[in-house]
Amino acid sequence: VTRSLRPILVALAIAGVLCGAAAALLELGLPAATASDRIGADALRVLQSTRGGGAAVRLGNRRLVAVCRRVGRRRIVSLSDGSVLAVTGAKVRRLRAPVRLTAGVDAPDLVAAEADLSGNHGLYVSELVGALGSGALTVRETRYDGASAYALRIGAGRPVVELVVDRHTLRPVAARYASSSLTGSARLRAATDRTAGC
Amino acid sequence: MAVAPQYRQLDPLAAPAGEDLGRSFGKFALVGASGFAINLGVFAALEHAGLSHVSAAIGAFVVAAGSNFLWNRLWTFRARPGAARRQAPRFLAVAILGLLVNLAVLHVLVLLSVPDLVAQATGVVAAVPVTFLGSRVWSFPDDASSRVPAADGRLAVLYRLELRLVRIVEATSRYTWIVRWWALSRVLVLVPALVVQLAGWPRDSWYPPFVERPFALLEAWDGRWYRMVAERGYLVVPHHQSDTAFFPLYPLAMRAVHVFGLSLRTGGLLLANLGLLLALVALYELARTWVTEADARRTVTYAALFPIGFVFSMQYPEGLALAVLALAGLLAVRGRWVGAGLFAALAALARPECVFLALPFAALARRQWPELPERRRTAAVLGVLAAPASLAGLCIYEFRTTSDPLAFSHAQQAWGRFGSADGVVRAFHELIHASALDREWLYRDAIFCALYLGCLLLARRAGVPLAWLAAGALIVLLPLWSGSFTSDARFGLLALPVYPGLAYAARNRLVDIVLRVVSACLLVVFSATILLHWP
Repeated sequence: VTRSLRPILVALAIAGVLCGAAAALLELGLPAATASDRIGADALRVLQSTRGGGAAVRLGNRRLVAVCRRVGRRRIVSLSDGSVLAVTGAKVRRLRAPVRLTAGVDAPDLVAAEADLSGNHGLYVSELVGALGSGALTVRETRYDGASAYALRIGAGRPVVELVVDRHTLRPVAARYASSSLTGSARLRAATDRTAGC
Repeated sequence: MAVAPQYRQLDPLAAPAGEDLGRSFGKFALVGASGFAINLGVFAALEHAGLSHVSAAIGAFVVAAGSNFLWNRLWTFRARPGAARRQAPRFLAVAILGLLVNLAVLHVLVLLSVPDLVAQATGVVAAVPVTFLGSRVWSFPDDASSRVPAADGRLAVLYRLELRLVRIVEATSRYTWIVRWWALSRVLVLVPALVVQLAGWPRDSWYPPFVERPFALLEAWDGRWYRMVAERGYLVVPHHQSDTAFFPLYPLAMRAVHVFGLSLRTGGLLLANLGLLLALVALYELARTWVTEADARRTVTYAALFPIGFVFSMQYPEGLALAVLALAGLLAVRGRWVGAGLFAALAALARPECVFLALPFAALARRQWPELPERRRTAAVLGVLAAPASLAGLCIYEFRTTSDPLAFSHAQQAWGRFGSADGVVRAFHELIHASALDREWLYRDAIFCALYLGCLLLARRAGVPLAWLAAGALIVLLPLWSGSFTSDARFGLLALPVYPGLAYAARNRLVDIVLRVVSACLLVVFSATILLHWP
């Protein structure tokens, strides 16, 4: 029995070493995900498990309040200037125009800015997934309201969209938007309960 | 060192009558010097034209090697017999060996901030001993058969080395017909890929500029994910498609080739296509242990022409996986268990289904067990355990990097695949209720699934051992438990007994011709339609 068992036991031990060697090969041979990608993936988990209630928006020289709610598969964003947007995934459609259009700003740019600053977690998820998938996500350390935070730039090129998340909880706290004709920022509000918001 | 007269006839380095070693080295050095000058000139010109130092070195090598071959054949070793057809491939092999030494030295010196031209000059000089010995002993040899083998001594060792080299070359020349089938089948894939891109079919906007990426079609679908793993490692994107679903051997190999200056795209395509060539040779040798010589030859033909085999030319791991899988099987059949275990371990890192190698390996080990001494028994058990152990290593790595040891499996859920007891029922349900949009592709996968199973049955009749058939059946059928036939046509490519099964079916000459023609036509059609649906 010993003569039969010994080769098996020795082989099992060597197989354990082989298992470790395979792990070591991968560790040495493959690059590790960047800190930006890891933070982005962690922030994505938080965004997927929470909902945004809206935001206090500063767009150009105007101050607006955005409220976000879910209606079926769509997320509806209502702004205090009277405009209403419907968001499905990363697609945004204007349902109602604002009472007064901002001069010198083209309509698609304004729609994108309003949507990105509205505190819509679903939209941030779509944009963040796109950025992670294309390797375009960049993250920088920043401060917001005196607390340390990360600014996640979701999407390459213009317009620049940044989502600011708390460094410790990774909850979204602010958003920034900058295009060639429009700049804006928003202080984001969490939804009051899990069923409300988007 | 002078060679004693009594050993002179045993010495592979000894010159034939009328030719002096020192003189031939002088000529070789002169030819080498001219090649050196050509090499540096071309290198500088290509680098000036914007190529990287490694690409420039390869270009310079091609020009200089051509010149060296001509002069060495016509002048340095002219007393030595041998047709150019035999000498040229040998010379090329030696030159490639020299190039590898050259590139290694060049790369290290460039990393150490040595100027490119100086680094290249040093690299070329460092390769001279290798190329001279190779040329003298092998590329332009004296007639080896006229020498008497010696029982001992360093010269005898050299002699045996030469004989071994000669045998390797002879063995390699046995596979030229395989190379021809490989080349033909790849032409059937690459030409349609080029043509549809040039034609901009089905939509011009789907392609990058032809000059930039002529084989963009072959880089589509999963190719992007494998490049992503090679570029930035694994990253789990929660509840979305993640690159952890893609196994690491192929991206690892892409990174290894990238060290020599090839882009991930080019390196990936080269690896896939050369992997298939290696796979065909290994499959031929493996099939010879299962079936008759004629069936083994047809096995290779059908593996090369197999309609879904366009995947072997894409930026997918199947070419590489088939190679390591067949090599592992071949070594196990020959009782070389350590090598078999190593290749099985690599195979399990290439595709998850390769872990089923453990099944035929266990059957082989059981059969060989009574005759094996204790140490080889250990090696045999290790061979059986190698693939699962390697897969466990991947789990450890994924746990360390993503906190999920089964990230590769869980990532499949984002593609709508998850294993469950009713998976096969779901797969058939999907097949019956497939939307008009893509049902023909799903039907293609289901038809090939059925074809694979039929071939496995035929392979049994042809004489393929049962354990190999069981592994093949698991490779084909297990994906169905994830609830879909999608991509089963591709997964089944790794079921090795399928090919001898086809070969058995084509024992009739007419059936053989029809199958070859149909396979070749389908290969062209499937290659041209890659962009319409993922394989």
